[in-house]
Amino acid sequence: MRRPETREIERVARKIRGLLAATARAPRDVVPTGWAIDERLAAGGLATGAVHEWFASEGPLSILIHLGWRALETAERTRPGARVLWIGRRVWPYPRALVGDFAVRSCSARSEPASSEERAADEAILELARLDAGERPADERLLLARSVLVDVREPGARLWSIDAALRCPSVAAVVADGSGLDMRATRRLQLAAEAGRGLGLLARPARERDRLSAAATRWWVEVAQPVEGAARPRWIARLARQKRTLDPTAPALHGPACVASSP
Amino acid sequence: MRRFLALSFPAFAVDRFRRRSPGAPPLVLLFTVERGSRWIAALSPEARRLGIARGMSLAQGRAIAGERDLAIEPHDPEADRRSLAELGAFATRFSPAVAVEGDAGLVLDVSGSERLFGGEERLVHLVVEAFARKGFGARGAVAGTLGCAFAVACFAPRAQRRVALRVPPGGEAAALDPLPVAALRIGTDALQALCEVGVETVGELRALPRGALPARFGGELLSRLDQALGTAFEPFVPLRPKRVPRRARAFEVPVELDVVRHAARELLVELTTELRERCEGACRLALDLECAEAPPVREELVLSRPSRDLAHLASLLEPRLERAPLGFGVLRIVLAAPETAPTPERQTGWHEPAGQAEVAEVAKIDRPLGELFDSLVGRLGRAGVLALVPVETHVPERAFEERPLASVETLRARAAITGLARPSRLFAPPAAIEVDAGPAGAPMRLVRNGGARRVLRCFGPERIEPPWWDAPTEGSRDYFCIEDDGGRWLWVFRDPQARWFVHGEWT
Repeated sequence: MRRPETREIERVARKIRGLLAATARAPRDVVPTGWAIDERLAAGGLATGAVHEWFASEGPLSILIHLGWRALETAERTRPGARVLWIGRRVWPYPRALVGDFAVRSCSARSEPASSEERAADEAILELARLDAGERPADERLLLARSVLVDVREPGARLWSIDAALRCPSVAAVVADGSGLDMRATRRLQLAAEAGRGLGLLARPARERDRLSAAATRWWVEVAQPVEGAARPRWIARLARQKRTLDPTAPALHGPACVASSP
Repeated sequence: MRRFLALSFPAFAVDRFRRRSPGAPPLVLLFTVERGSRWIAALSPEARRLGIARGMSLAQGRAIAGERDLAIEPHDPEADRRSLAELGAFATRFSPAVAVEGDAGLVLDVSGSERLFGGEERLVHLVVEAFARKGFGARGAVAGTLGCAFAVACFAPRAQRRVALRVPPGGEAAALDPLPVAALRIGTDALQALCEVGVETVGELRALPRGALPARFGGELLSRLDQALGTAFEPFVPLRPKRVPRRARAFEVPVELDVVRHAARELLVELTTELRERCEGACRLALDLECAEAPPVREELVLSRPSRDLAHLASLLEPRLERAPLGFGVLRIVLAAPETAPTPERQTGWHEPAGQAEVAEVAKIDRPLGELFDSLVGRLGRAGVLALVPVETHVPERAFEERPLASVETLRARAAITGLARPSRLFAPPAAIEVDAGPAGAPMRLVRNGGARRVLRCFGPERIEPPWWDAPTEGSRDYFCIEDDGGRWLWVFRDPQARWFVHGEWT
């Protein structure tokens, strides 16, 4: 009785191929942060279709606005009309800050060699600077016009909103209040992000740093101590974790999936 | 013989407010803004007992109320009118013909229908009780003319109210005679003129020579009097419920999903055509399926903005159809748009130079985005999904408005935005802080959240004056951008009383 077996194997193989096709990712866009730390990131920037967590005592709004701009510029090249969603009042910026005449720049990035116990701690010192007329985006109000604010208080509804927004292919970035999320919630959001094409940015309170999470990168942001000669708001952003992703379309699974049936 | 039941709501606006906010204190003042100040437009009986009256300024009302808890809200006559029409729809359970009378009254044509409720007096009690259960205090009366019923409902003295509920046929004149002339629904000019000659009641008015009335008090008075007495005809215009766009198909035998999908598409085409003729878009769609050997299915769609776009609506509807449990097939399919809103037609004229930034302000919402916004609005409500619109003002907290996404799409506003540095987060309201200011007025040290901080850098002042045309009580503010010794950047201001507030932070 060989025929039913091979048919069964063929059926399973077809199923596996279908699953693979569903998980096979389109080539991901990468959103360059524009900071020197880009070279420490595996993708050369923040990967879209992934969730990135930002821990700070006061949600690092200036940094998130900057990343929203970069994500919008990246998205505009391939899918014009994309939006940036701000979910939860904690991440609603003062709209004036969305106008593109300011940007967050890195002053100097400092990379410490990885010690045997500790993972490599990469950090960047960032500052908010006014852009010269030549450096500004062509339409300064692009982000303002494309921003959509979502007012949601209840945590369950917030998680659902972030999930729905991340899945939408026409969203450039989702900036969301990520307070109180647990491992399961971040896993769900990471999967949702993989289904969509947007950049997921979660602003989380600093006290939740130790919680487990499935995010692709985790960043700790602190206010930088004042120094002489730099009269601008400054922050230190530390890349605390970077997940090495497992590619589901590894060549080992791509072999001849159809088992030849014997005559 | 016609019989009318009139209902008057003496405190309609306040009752409506109470219904909206059940936890409000008993003292309620609703105000209107006129000639630059606020005037009391409606108030609760508890407030009236204190000596507050309609037409006083709001400040005076507040002063009389003193320390007591007050609920103060703007008066919205337009919303009152809409709400009254809704109550009229509720009243159709007592009579098929209901009309709105004045600002706070309803009239029901009860000719013949009183028998269903056990007589006119019982009917009046039933109606008044039904409205009381909904939170609206009403007074009612039945009479042979609309005018007389309304006059008795509004103006019958408290002692007579139980007796005067029903004016027997032919008894209109007797019922009207003791009432004040204001009960005749006449203009203020005529009222004033009658008051000047000392005519106070309808009886006194009727004693005057009839021929002289129009010349002295205007033609309206006589026609109102005749209408109330039943000698002149008064039109009765009942409310007509707005017709809901609805389309249906019935099948001879239970049909499968493919046919249902095709039929739904056809219905949608017809529905969108009707909506186009009415210049409206659907805000809500309801799809009812009657299934064979299975419970009926109702699918509801809530849309983020009124739409009659066939492709968009079909893309929202079809996944719902596929998921619906259809049993052994569908017998009947009904598609309706229970809630619609006007969509302004936009002229894409040749005179608009193409490619200008003003035209491209709001980028087109493509289908996945439309579906996302619709599902967000469906769960969070229209006020939960907002877009930002710059406003032409220099006051920082008013420079941007958050508007529901639906209303922004047709907007072309391109207000100026200040070029000066502004924080990334604005506190609303500004938080009070303690500041030690230096000799030049600039802050040197500040205490915030219990911790004292030294100010390292300070830029300013930037003076922001309140607009002269409103809020004359607010003073000018001097803003400073400061960096404290922890490296945090704050946006603080000093008001004319030298109090300090922190208004924003660069986070």
